[in-house]
Parts: sequence; structure tokens; C-alpha cells
Amino acid sequence: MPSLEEPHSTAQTRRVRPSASAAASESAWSSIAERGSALGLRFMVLCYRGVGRRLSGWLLYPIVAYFVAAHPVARRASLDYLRRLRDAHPEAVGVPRREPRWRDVMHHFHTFAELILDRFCFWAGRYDDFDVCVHGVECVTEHLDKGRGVVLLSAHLGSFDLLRVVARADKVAVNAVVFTSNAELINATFKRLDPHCDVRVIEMDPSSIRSAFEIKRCIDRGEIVALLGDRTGPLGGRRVARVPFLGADAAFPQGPFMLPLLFGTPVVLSLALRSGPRTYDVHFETLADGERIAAANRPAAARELATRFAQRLESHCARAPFQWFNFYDFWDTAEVRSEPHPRRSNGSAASSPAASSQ
Amino acid sequence: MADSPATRVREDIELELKKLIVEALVLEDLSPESIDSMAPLFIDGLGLDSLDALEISLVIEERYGVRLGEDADQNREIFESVRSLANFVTDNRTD
Repeated sequence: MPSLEEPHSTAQTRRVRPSASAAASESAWSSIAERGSALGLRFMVLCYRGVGRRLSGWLLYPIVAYFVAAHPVARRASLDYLRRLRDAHPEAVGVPRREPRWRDVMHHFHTFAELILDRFCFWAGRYDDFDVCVHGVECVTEHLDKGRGVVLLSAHLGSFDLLRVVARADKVAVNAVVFTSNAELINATFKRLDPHCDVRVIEMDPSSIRSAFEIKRCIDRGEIVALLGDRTGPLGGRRVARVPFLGADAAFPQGPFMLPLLFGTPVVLSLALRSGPRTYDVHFETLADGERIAAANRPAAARELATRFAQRLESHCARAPFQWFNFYDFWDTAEVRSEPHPRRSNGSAASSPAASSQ
Repeated sequence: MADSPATRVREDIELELKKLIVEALVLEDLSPESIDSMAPLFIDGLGLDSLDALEISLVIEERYGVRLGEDADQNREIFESVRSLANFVTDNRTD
């Protein structure tokens, strides 16, 4: 298997033993995920407990084959994504030059399933099975050491919940912001695997302002708040920033970028990418140093931040293409409209319409 | 019948708050005067969300020295409408 190139901003590299806890995974394609996942996750847990990590990997194939056959939306999304990636990054590892086919989709889903199995291992405490190399942790610790809170922005690429494990190694409270409805299913699964797991989540209810203030309190206490930047979610779900990603404009939620600007909090891109059956590379990269921005300038600043995020995300996608797991039409979803809220300016010049998916 | 001084003070604060809200949230097509003091701020009415609530609380803190958001249960009531915000600010301002 080809090895990954050195990441963009490597300062120090250090080995870390994963030490804890779960964050939940949000699914915009949740209707598919929820229907299948209750059964699918249970089956995977049984396999994992029954025959262990490695054999479970083999058992995944029939599950994945069924899933690919039964879910044309997800299948088409995978094909579309792989096509865009191939066009935008011909150098991308493992992505064929020819038109993507079902076998590529199978590989894509299988990689996703492998990531899930790895997470079972983490939560079950099997730390010794993994080598984790951390790059750029000082981007985070330089702020924490001064008692300053940090926003970690991750995405559905690789294994974002490994990040909490890394951060917990430094004994700083990490708060993962998740959707209530999905959190319960997945937390229940992880608790079954590790009853002692100390999950600290902020469950966001979009209709409630309580959680937004709770985030503020975490920041004020100098803690880490972990957000996902690539899906609409609990923060201001209507507002989007359409910025370039893999050759066309995609709608990123504005909330995760606006929130740190409101508080003047540093923002660090955080990704954990699988680099082999038992190895992960965790990357931390500074996206914003937390200067305070005047209210009138914030929409534009949020858009700039989203643009930087998308650029760096794209770069990491090219190095780990099959670890992308937004299995829906990322460039034109029904959930995120390009029209700004009727009463709000989105602070940006209109960008070109997204290319329609084939 | 003339309004009481207290009513006038409250109305002044309400208008001020409306201006702050329009400014902070960059609500370009909305004039402060057209906002109904009793209309719900969230979900219905003005349709603001939790991020908007944060922005509003920041400007209110800057302008009136009142900290919002400390008590989670209170929040619901305070952020009900411009009227409820105005009442809270009147009772707690330190500027």
C-alpha cells in the first residue's frame, strides 16, 4: 500500500496512546443511516466481539455489498465524489483514472466500515493495537497552555472521534457538539462497548439557545470545543457559505465558522486519517488565531475561514480519498440552500452555481 | 392619556434593542421600527437561531453591561421577545 506523503504543516511528530472516549457521528444521510445502522451497528458489534477486529473486517464484505446494492443515493454520491476528486486531484492516492465503478464504491464503503470497526477497538480500550502519530499538536496546546479555549474543526474524513482521544491525552476537557437524535443511538452503542467511557457531549437542539451558551461557557473555561465543519447541523442550520471544494462550490454550514469568530477563539483544523491497518496520522493545523472581528465584518470573515477549511480538507482528501464519508450529494443538497436567509446578508459576493452532479 | 415615564423608558430601550439586533445580525431588509416588541424572536416571528442569540447577548453585554446566558432556565424567558429582553435589561443594566 503506498504510504502517505508528509502532511503540509508538520512541526513535531509524537506518538500517543489513545486513552478515552466517544464522540458521536452526525449523519446528514441519517434516514439511510438510522434505518440500517441500528441493525448494522449491532451486527458489527457482535462480529467484533465474536471474532475480533481482523475477522470482522472480512465479514464486512457481504454487509457492504448489500449496502451498495440497496442504496442508490449513497452509491451515486460515492461515484460523484470519486469523479470530482479524480478530476481535481489526478495525483490522489488509489483513485483510478478511468470512470469510477461499483468496485470503487465497494472499496469506499468498505473503508468506512473499517473506520467504524477501528472505533469499536478504541472504545473497547484496545489501545495497544494502534500506533497514532500526531502532527502539529502545538497548534492546540499553545492556546490551552495560556488557559485559552480552542475550537477544533473536523470533517467526515477519517476518524474524527480519535481526536478526542488525542486531546484527552493532554487532560483537557473536550466537548463534542453533536445532534441529539443521532447521539443517542451511537452513544448507546459505544457505551455497550465501554461502560466506563466518559463521554462529554454538548447535545445541540437547533431550536434551543441553551446549548449555544453552553459552548460559550466551555470556551470561557479554556476547554476544547469540537465541531464538524462539513455538514449542516445544530448551529444556524439555514446559513451557508458556498466555497470551492474539489473543483466546484459546495455549501458548508456557516455556524461552525461564525461561532469562533463571535468569541474570538482560535480555530484548528483537526483530522485523524488511517494510514494502515493499525496506524493513524492525526493532523492539527491552525486556521484562525482568534482575533476578534467586528460584527459587520464577521460574515465575510466566516466565509474566508470556510474557504481555508475547504482548501485544507481537499488537500487531505487527496491523500486519503476513500476515508470521505459524506455519502450524499455534497455539492447541492436539499438541506442547505444557496439562498441566504431572506433577512440576512451572507456577507459574500455570489459565487458560481455548483456544477450539477452527473 | 399620557404614557407613564416608565413606559416611555421601556419603549426607548425596546427601540434601542431593535436597532442593536438589526445591526448585529445584519438584517438588511428590516427596519427596527417594524419589529413587533411582543413577537417571538426564535423559531417563529423573527426566526432567529441559537447563533443569533449569542450575537445578541454579546452586543447587549457590551452596551448595557448585562451578562446574558448564565442561567440556562432564565434564557428561555429572557429571549422570548424584545419586550422580555427590554425588561431584563431594565432590571439589570450596569452602564
